[in-house]
Amino acid sequence: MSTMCQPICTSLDNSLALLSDSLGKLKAAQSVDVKEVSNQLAMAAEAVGSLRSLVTSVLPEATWQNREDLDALLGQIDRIMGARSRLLTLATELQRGMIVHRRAVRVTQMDQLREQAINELQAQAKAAGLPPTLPGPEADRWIEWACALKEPEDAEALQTLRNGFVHLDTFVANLEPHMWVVKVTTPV
Amino acid sequence: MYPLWPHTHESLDNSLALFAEGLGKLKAAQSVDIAEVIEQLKAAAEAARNLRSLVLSVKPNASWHSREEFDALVGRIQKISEARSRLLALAMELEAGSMVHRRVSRVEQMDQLREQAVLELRILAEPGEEPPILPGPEADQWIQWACALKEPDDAEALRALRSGFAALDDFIANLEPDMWFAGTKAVV
Amino acid sequence: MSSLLPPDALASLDDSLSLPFASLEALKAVKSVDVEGIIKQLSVAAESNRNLRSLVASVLPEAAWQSREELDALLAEIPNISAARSRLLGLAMELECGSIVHRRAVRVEELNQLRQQAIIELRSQAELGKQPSVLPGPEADHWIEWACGLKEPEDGASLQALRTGFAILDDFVANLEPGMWVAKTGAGAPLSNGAELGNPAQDVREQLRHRLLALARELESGNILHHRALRVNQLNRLREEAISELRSRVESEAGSPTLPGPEADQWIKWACGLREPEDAEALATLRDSFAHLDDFVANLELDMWVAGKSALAEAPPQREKSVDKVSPQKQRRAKTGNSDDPGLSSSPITVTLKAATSPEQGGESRVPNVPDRLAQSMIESKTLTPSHELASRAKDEAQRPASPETGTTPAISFEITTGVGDARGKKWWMVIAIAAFAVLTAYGAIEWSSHRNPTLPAKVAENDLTHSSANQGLDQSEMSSDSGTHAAGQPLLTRSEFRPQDRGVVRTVPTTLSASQAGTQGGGAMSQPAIRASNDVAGVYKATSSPGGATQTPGPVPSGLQNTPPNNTTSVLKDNSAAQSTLAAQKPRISAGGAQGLVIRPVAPLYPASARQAHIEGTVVLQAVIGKDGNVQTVRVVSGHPMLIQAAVNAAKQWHFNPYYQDGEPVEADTQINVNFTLQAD
Repeated sequence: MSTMCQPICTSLDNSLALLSDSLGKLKAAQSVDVKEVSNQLAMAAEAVGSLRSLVTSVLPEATWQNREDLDALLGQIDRIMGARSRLLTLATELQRGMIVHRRAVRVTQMDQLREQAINELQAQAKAAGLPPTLPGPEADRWIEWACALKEPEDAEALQTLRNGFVHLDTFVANLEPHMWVVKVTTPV
Repeated sequence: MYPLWPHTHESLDNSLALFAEGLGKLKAAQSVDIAEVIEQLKAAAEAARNLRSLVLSVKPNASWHSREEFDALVGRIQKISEARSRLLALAMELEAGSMVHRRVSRVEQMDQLREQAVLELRILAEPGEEPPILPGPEADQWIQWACALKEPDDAEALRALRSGFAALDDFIANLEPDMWFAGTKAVV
Repeated sequence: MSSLLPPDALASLDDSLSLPFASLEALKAVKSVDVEGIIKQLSVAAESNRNLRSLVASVLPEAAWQSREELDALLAEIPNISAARSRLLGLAMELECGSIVHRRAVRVEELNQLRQQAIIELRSQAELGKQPSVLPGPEADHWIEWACGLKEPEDGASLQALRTGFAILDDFVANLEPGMWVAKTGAGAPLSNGAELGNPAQDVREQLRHRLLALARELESGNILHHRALRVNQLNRLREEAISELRSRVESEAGSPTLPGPEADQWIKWACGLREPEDAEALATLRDSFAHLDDFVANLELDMWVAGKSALAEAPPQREKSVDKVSPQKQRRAKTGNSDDPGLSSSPITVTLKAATSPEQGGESRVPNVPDRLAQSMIESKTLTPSHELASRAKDEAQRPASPETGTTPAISFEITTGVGDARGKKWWMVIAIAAFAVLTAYGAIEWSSHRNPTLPAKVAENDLTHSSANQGLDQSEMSSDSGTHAAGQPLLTRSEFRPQDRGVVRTVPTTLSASQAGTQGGGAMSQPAIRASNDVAGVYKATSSPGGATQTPGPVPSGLQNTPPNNTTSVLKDNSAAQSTLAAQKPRISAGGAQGLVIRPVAPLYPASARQAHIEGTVVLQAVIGKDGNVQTVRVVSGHPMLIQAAVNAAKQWHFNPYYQDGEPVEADTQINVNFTLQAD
């Protein structure tokens, strides 16, 4: 079950469970609280609506026939959202840091490359569908990892990076480890 | 400007100036028409040759080592030339004039003295030796001036006349102003 | 005075002007002067003047000056300009030799591109005719390290200078981190992440690239020498194109084509010795793969080239020698060395004139004994040798002892030789000449008989004397205007009456012929075509004259010069029927033996005073057409030092031959004449 959709799915399932009980009672010609049943039905419909909105917002072309299909879609959505989150986190990390170099012209060049890399990450995160895979660790260790990539040992990772994030790859190719300084904000 | 042989002097100096200019250009590695420089050299050499001939014709034993010495030499030559001219002019003046006296014998005496004086002047004017300086004005005024010489007032002039022109001095000493008619033969 | 220019260039001018200036003073003082002597000095001065202007123009084409002071200032500036150029080229070479290492191949590629652009920028700045920007920093071998350490704002001034003058270089070093640069790997081409190439095929390609790069550097570091700036510029353009061609081949993805010939330091000498048709294969390879390089060496004469010391990386290991690398001269010797048919050699008629400076000749100032290359050279190429090298070279040359003043017997000798005028091979050729002399005697008789008897078949050997492709750039019309005031023409002399035109005692040149071969003594015109040629000295004319040139003593005439009866001869000519048929359609080319057999009145050239004073030696190669009447109709200059050409042409025009007969009729014929001018002192 998708972690993002968990609450909505739980709400839907709960409502559907109560509605199922009520249907059983009706079938057994037992008395039911019609008003309660209506409420549960409304809640289920609302959950369904949310789920549908979520699904179509992320996967506008998605269609499903049954709960299994829906679960698969929700799992896919989960992955997409996770990937986008990584990209945006890295973009934020890049924005936080600072380039230092003995040559001002080089600092300017690197800042431009960084700007392009950030824009690229953000654009990829906004695009429909699953964004390209960003290899490497989490954002806080990513730059250090990327600056250590070597050819030919890390050819695969580099190829993945190059395929999906050209500007980011250019940026880290130009970046030397000693050039990157992460700004540490002192909490108030 | 050179009073003696001015054209040759000018030709030499002009040629030398152009030749020097050509040499200066050569020395400065500038473009120069070498044929023209050679022509200037030849012209200068020709002028120098001519000047040397002129000087040696007047003073065969002359020698000099520098332009200053040469100019001094030419100056001396000019003075000598002028001195000779004066002597010859006076000789001609004496020859052209005539004696007048009541006594024929005196006229004859004076004519003899005159002839000796003329001969003396011509001998002194010959090239070779530097002639003595004849005191007094130009030829046409000279006899009048010489006849007015007095001792002791004109002692210096008389001394110069006596030492350099003994025969002339003799003639003048014997000449009274009214004996002399310039430029005509005496008619007794 | 410039320390870069050979001091003799200016000293020669000043020396030759000392007498005219002294004469100026004498003339001012109305003294007599030696006009003829002064005119001679003026001629020398004019020549020195021209040379100096050419030299300055080759470094500073836009320079103008009005006085000696301004000239001195320019000359003082030239070393600085040359030093600046040397630094730029030194750094360019340093950048070429090193390599970039980085963990990322894309970064290596980017930095290599920047590096190439920086190299181009440096070379462009170092081009002749431009005032190069001053490159801040230390010498080339420490420069990159220094540049990578520049910081803002502490090194603001240096960075500003760098940025202003060398924007691309600044870009490069701004992108370069110290750990990325590996100096002087010798590869010249970028290495991929510093990875080693283990592929044998790639090793071969790398070797080829090394050769091309080494030759490109050799071409860059050398100098072109010519007394005409126009010609220097032409050759420098060709050289630039050749260098660009070599470098583009290095960088070509398709791989480098094979460059024939030996290693870079011998290559130019080898290439200048290539001839058609003997070296057709090498020439074809060169022409096909390196058209610009071929153009350059075709235009280059060996005496125009002065090799510089190029900063070369280590040469790659030699795996195997190719046939191409064998000297073409050695190949030719192998082909012709054991030939008993020297009459068929392609050697032309060669006249050697040797003269020495005469301390006994009054009024002549001695020029220090400096080779004409140095006396004439300045930095005439786009690549400058470092100024300290040239200064030391000039100093070394200036310190060479001059010819001894006392006991020197000025030597002027005249000998007719054939074959290549290579002093080193002379003794070897003389040995061959002695051995082949008997054959030549027989050949001469047949030749003479065939010329006189129309019924005999004309036997002509092809004599491929074409040097036109190598010398088309020579501007013959400049010869007469640049030749100064040399005497025009010489009186015709018979062989035995020949006397050298230079004053001075003539030293008898020992003949290679034995005394027993001495023939008719005494003078008089030869009634037979008498010069017989081997591949070396064949005939020697002895003439002696005391200062003043009063007496002439003709030397013994070798027997080969006599009229040898036909039955003593052995035919040495091969019947060339193909040549005969082509000759029927065009002027025949006379072989060495044939043409020499026809000479009846050679005229010795006058050794130009200015060339003698400047110690200029060399061979002038002429192509002559002999008319039906035996007179020389046309003379075309094939190659030679410009200061010697006019004298050689004047003399050759006065040579007289017996007419060449073909099918019983006199016809015009082509031949080649080499005139060697050599200075020697006892």
